[in-house]
Amino acid sequence: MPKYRLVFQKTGSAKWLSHLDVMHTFARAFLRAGIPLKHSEGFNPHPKISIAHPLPVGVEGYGELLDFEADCPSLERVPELLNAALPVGLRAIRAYPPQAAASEIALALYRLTFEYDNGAPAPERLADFFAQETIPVVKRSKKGETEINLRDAYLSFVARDAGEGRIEAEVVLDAARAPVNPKYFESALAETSLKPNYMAATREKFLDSTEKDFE
Amino acid sequence: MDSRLDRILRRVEKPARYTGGEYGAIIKNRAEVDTRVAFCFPDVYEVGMSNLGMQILYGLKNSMPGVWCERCFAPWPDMEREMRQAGIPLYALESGDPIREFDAVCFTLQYEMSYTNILNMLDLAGLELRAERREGFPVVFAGGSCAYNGEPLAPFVDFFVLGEGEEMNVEVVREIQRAKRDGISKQDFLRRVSAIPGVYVPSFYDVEYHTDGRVASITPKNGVPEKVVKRIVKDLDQMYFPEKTVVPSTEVIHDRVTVELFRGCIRGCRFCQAGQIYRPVRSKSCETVVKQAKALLEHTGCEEISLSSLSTSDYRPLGQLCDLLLEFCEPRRTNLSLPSLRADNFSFELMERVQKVRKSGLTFAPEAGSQRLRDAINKNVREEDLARTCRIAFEGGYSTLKLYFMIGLPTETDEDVLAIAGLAYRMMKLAKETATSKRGVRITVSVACFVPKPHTPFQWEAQNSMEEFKRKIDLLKGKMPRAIAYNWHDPSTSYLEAVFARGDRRLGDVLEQAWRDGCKFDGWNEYFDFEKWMGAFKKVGLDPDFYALRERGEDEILPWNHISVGVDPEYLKRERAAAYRSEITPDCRAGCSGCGASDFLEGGVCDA
Ligand code: SF4
Repeated sequence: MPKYRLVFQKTGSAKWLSHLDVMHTFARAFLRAGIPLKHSEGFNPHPKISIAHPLPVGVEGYGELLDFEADCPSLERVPELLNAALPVGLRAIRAYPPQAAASEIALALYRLTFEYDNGAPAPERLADFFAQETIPVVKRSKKGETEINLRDAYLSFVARDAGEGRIEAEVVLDAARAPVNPKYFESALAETSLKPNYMAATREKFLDSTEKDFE
Repeated sequence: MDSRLDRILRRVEKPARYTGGEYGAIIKNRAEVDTRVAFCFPDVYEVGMSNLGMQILYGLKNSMPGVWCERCFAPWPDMEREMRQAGIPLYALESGDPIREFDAVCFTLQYEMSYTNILNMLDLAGLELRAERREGFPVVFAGGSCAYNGEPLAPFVDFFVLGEGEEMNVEVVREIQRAKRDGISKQDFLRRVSAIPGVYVPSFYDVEYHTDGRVASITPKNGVPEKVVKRIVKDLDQMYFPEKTVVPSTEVIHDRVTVELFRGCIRGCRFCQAGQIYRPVRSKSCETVVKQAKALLEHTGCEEISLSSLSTSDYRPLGQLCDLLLEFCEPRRTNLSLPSLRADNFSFELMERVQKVRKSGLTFAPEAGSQRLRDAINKNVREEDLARTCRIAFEGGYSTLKLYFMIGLPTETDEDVLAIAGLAYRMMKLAKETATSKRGVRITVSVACFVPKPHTPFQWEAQNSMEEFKRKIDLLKGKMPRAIAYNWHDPSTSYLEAVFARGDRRLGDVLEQAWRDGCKFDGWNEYFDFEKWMGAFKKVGLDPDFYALRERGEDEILPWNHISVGVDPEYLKRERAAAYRSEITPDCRAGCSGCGASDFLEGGVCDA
């Protein structure tokens, strides 16, 4: 079990930072905050921090988890000390000794905002689309392109009209298996009349297998 | 702006370059700001954010009440395309506001091949390129090492600031503040600002040409001085230094803390522009360096600190400084790096002391292969010293050696060129005999094409033609041992550097034409397009050979004749003559050779 867990937010301009950028920035922020991280042994020691299910670049997160090992004088003060040392958009919320390993994260709740510059369709139409049994999307990775069924990647998709040409959807994504980048929800619509001008994605929190908030 | 920017950021490479929000970035309350300055670096974020000068001047200007200085970098072409398509003008990173709404836009000039990026940034900002067509504010000015001959940019900037900026920038920005308060015209402002020593307003100097293209006269008007003399900071210990800097959240080229040890150089290598333009040598005290280093490491949380200067080994208290820094760095796992070391024992022992774990890189710049040519360029490195240091290093387990050379140096013969291979071969043999590293020693030889620079003893010299460079590169290739990795700079880039380094203001037309034809990021191989450049010269009707390949007469009026870095041209001539006799000049510590730079100092004597 990791020693401590930090809940943090990655929002605004910070959503454009890569996973490596975030790790590096936190490592420095701990040092700036005067919280010495433990380091791994060996020839090339690195600070002991790890982030559960790193966010894809461009996606915001409100309940991100970072496990760390450090000599903390007081766990309660960690967020405050870190926040004075973090860049805009990265915010420490609370630190605690975790009860479950990050590998027990089962699900993730996402909020997707579909923006339509010329007026949004009825939310039911989006919901119907994402209720289909097969939604083929082309997944691109370094290894090449593969077609996947996006429908296998989530448990539920609930949409509502958010006004100003926007539709907001709450989506419970399967996080246990290879998680899918939420951008595929936008690309799935690319060839349809439901194609948005832009889709913003936010990961609200992680859930365990019983759909309770993951601690 | 938010979603508009998000919509394009998701399509570009490395979007974190364009968002700002880093730790240490300065956000000011607009209600308390009356003067806004955009500090522009004409290259990408990763390069600009690695520049110490930018961090210093950013902090300095922001330390002025009422002034908000923000950063701005050249967007990579993918981002530029998106911005133009979305109608987003060039904006400053801190506020996201378009820089054309600012009061001043300033550029730092580090490299001739970034000039088209300056034009591109002005255009992307929605500003007129030509200074004469921009009325009112923002004023556009530029400083940095290329400003000592910024003539090719003269049509585009309102003024240059020459020399060290720590004091001058405050004076200039204060003048901008005053001009805005008084509501005066740009012309009146330029008249006022030209009174600040070190400020050079190119439009206040008329340049006439002979029919053959040489400069006939440079005539000052509006009461400006005949010669604009660069500024220096006399006391580096008292000088402004930011103890808080912007810490990038994303990867940059040099992701580390840098603290300067001294300015200037005692050595006087004849090809080196930095060694001349930063004269005279002035040091920071050991205490100041340690204090600044600690403050910056604590502020940034960086894992590495680098000490910067033109020749680290020449810093008198270097040993003591390293002891003090290591004491602080080791417990925090901070690496200390010492660039620009000389190939002598003392330096090597130091390197051993600071690089406890990573024993890999050994880098030296003998610059020339033969002792004769090293004497001619006044590079006082002897092969014996190099060999002795390498031997200890190889025995100690070092596994790579990088050697840097130049070809096309004045007085160079084919024999000198081939001597590079000879030297490399001897180092290779030495490595075979002495290396203890299991992998052996990997030797790399890098060869650059010499570019004659203004304000140096070689400012009158002809550059080798591209064909000649290619011939020499091939000649050397034929003799270079196969086991050595041999690489060389592209002669066509060096040729253009030479054109613009010693260019006059007529080249502004070529710059503009090349930019209109699509040239940008010329310092990046993937964008450098030599044919486009040659096309631009043709369209404008100027011959690049005239600038690069022509030997100037020593009595010729050079385009930078009215600019003084404090070094007497007579001294440069003496040094040039000595080069032709392959005679060395002792360094400033061994004896003053009367270059004139000591006039900057109280008492008129250098503390070399
Ligand atoms: S005045 Fe003398 S000591 Fe000073 S920089 Fe010039 S040559 Fe060196």
